[in-house]
Amino acid sequence: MLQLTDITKVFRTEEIETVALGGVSLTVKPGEFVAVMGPSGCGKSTLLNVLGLLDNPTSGRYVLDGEEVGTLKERQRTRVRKGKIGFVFQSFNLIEELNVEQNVELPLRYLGVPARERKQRVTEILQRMAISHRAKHFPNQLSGGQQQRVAIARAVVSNPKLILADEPTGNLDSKNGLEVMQLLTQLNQEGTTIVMVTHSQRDAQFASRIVEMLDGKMV
Amino acid sequence: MMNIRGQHNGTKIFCLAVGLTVGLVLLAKVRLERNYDRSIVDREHTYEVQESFQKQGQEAQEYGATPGGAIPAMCRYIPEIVVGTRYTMQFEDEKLVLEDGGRMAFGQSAFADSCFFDVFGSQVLVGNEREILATPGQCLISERLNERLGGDMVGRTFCYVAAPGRPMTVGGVFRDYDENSRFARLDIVMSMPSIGTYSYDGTGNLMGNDRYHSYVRLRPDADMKKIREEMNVMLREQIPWEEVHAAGIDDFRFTLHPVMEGRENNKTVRTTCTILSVVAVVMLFTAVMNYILVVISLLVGRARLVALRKVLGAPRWEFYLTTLGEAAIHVVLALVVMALLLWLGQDWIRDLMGVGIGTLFSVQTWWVITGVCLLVLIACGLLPGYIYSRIPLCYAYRLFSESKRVWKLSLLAFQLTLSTMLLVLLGTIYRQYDYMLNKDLGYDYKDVAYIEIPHQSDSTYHLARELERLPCVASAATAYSLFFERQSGNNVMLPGDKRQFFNYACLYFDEASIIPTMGLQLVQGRGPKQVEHPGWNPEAVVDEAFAKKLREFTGWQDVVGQSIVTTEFGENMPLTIVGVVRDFTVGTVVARDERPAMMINGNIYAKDILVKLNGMSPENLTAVQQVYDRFYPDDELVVKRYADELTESYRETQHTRSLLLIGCLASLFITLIGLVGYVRDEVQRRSRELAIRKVLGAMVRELQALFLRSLAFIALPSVLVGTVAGWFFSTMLLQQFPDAVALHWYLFLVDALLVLAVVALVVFLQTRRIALTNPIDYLKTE
Repeated sequence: MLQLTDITKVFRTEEIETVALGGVSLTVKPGEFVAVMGPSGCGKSTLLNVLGLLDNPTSGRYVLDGEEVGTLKERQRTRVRKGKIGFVFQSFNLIEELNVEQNVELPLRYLGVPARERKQRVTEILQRMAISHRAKHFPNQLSGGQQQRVAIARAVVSNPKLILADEPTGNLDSKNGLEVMQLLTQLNQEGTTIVMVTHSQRDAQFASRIVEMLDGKMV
Repeated sequence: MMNIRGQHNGTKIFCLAVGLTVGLVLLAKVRLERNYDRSIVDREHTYEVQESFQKQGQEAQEYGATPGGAIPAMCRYIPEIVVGTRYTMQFEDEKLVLEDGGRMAFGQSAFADSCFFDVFGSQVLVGNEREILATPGQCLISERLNERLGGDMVGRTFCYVAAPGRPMTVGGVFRDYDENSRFARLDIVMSMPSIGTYSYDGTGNLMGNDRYHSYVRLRPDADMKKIREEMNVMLREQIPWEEVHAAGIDDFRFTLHPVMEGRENNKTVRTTCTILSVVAVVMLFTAVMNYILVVISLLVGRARLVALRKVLGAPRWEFYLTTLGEAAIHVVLALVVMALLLWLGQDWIRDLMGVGIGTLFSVQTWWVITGVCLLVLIACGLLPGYIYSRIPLCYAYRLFSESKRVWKLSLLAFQLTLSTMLLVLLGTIYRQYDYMLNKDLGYDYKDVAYIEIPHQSDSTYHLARELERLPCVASAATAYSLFFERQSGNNVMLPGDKRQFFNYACLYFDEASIIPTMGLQLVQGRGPKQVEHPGWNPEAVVDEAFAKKLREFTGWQDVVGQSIVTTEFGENMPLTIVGVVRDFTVGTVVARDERPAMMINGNIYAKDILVKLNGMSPENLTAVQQVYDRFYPDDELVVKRYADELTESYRETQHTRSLLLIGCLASLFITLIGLVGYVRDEVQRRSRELAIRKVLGAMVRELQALFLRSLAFIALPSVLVGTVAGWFFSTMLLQQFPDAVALHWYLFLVDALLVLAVVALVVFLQTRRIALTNPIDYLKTE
């Protein structure tokens, strides 16, 4: 599915140079559920950003679904990202001005899916996420667990091959956290590759493989 | 006091200064127009006398000048007249030379009678004006001319170069008229009894020679009804009614018009004042709106501080005091910037307004400035104070996220509407000006140059022939006046027939070469022959309108070869029509002479030489200039381009265009600042949303379209309303032009699209940066 070879990411300011990733190599096979663990500041989120094409690595090779994507420009990264990768964030990142249905529909809009098909797919995914009764509600009218389910619905509505989850249960209570993890596991069982960054040992247990990071490197 | 650093103070002050400068200059110009001719003594009771005549079956027409005998007759018949005077302009900045010293100067002059200064004011510094203006060969000169000629001019004699052998003695000196007066450039007031030495003396006429501007001052308790009765008696007893009726005029009378209304009632002045007032108010409003817009945009940053002060017990009035204090500082600084802008642009303003900054912003104008500044201060000080005072206390400990978007959008909508309106108006005046410059006048002046010759003599004809020998000259002709100048008129009659058919515009020239020189199209017959001496058998070329009208009156099949008589030359000197030319414009597009035209040959009148060049180039102009210099080595003659002088006659339109351009640019600039600020704030406010959309696959153009859509709902109606308002004022503006450009709907569409394009460009540029930024940068800030 994806292969990272000797990836580095260095953040530079006028006075300081921070090495966030110091030569990371990682291979994730299709259908795998990989949990990335490590202490705060070890480079987990940076790794996830590189994997999600939100950021380019400073050096190294990144092959996604057979295509070299490590050196793509922003516009090209957006093109590759569309429909191929779904994101689930710790803080949900729903758009406050849009209701549940509209939030979930967004990736399909950007993929140019016709309106009729969009509606059908959104309805299906909301039912699957058991949130269809809240379709017309706005994010601030939902609980944290409901918001994360909407975020997951939005991440999977375009049937991406890869889901990247950044601390998906970080803002949830244990009950809602468990529900979210069960949802991700179910998606994985249906064939979706998942890479999840987490601090939680319990959440990591849902993954088929756990990789540890420390100071920007795999350990 | 709050910390006012980082509050976009530079932007606020500069925009306010630009708005104040343009707004106040325009308001000052309007005030100037309304205070025109302030020097007139007792304006309230002073009246301009106009002539009114009604032709058979037509509406009564009023004419601003009268025959010379009107005032003396009125003074005899109407006892309510305290004082009456008349004047007539003679030389327009012509050269004059002192007889005893050879010193020379240029000066504008008028003939006036002894009560001139009683009516038109201005202090006489030296001499007894009544005595001087009653004595033939005597005059008063302006203070500045006195200085130009070396001072102490009383008792000395000068001669106009154009009127050799007719000396004028300086009897007194008057204080210069101010710039905002019809006499701003008047340097010499010559006694009315001298007029016969210079031209036809019509001071006793009650019909014809309507060149005198007549004014009377009435007793404060004068009964207008009684005056009308007295006037009727005068008309009945004094007017040669047989002559009037023979000219096809049914009714003839003199009418009185208050001078206070004269300027205000002028349609052009009234329209210009209305439009400039609107632009001025728009400018001031836009500037104030922009100020408030910036203040509201900065609200997020100041909200916590304001809320904290409230928590600590700050009373509501303290916020008003703070914002008023800030606004006062900003207004004062804006006034300083305004003064700087005015100082930098003073030459330009003088050129544009016709007066200097001193006159424009005189003491009387200061109350306008003070009033406007107070209004600006109240708006810029109190409104933000009100907004601050309503910030809830809770924002002392959490982020103030209220965007005040409705406020901002409302203000922005207003600015967009006003800017669109100004742009439409500007587009209209530009098109009108362009139309005037390029309008087919029925003759071709593109390659025509001309020079005013100082002496009317035979040498003029020879100079024209000499010029024709130059390889760069296609043809040359002498003429009494240029086609765009005001022409005298006479009535047409037939030999042995006393009936007067119609009035025509009379153009005098020298020979047939006028036709090719001015590119007139001869449709029938030939051009007239040149005559070498006075006492000639005059020949005439008429335009098609003249020929048509003459055919209608006489029943002739053809006018060429026919003899006619004019009221000017009488029965003893009939004219033969030798040709007909295609209709051409006499006058200008702004002031077109609607009468039919007739051109008469006769070199005794020539005062201009017109030259058709083989291409208008500096080299060709120089070649012509050299020949002139050889003929008149003692005179400083300059070859002028006909097109330049014609353009000069559209000066008023050009000025209106320039004023609107300034207003429009300033308004657009301020609106642009507001728009950029708004979009930047919105982009910042929605940065997280943009990042999320990008993560979900939105392309840059989709994000830009998102912002465009969110602005479109305010921009489209605003631009629509602005366009309609612009159309309304454009119609009003064009009403002052007898020949106006057509207002096609698609021109308004172009203007509207232009504004929308600017809005789109601002959105495009402002969102591009954030749309191209890594989305994670904005998600991280959460």
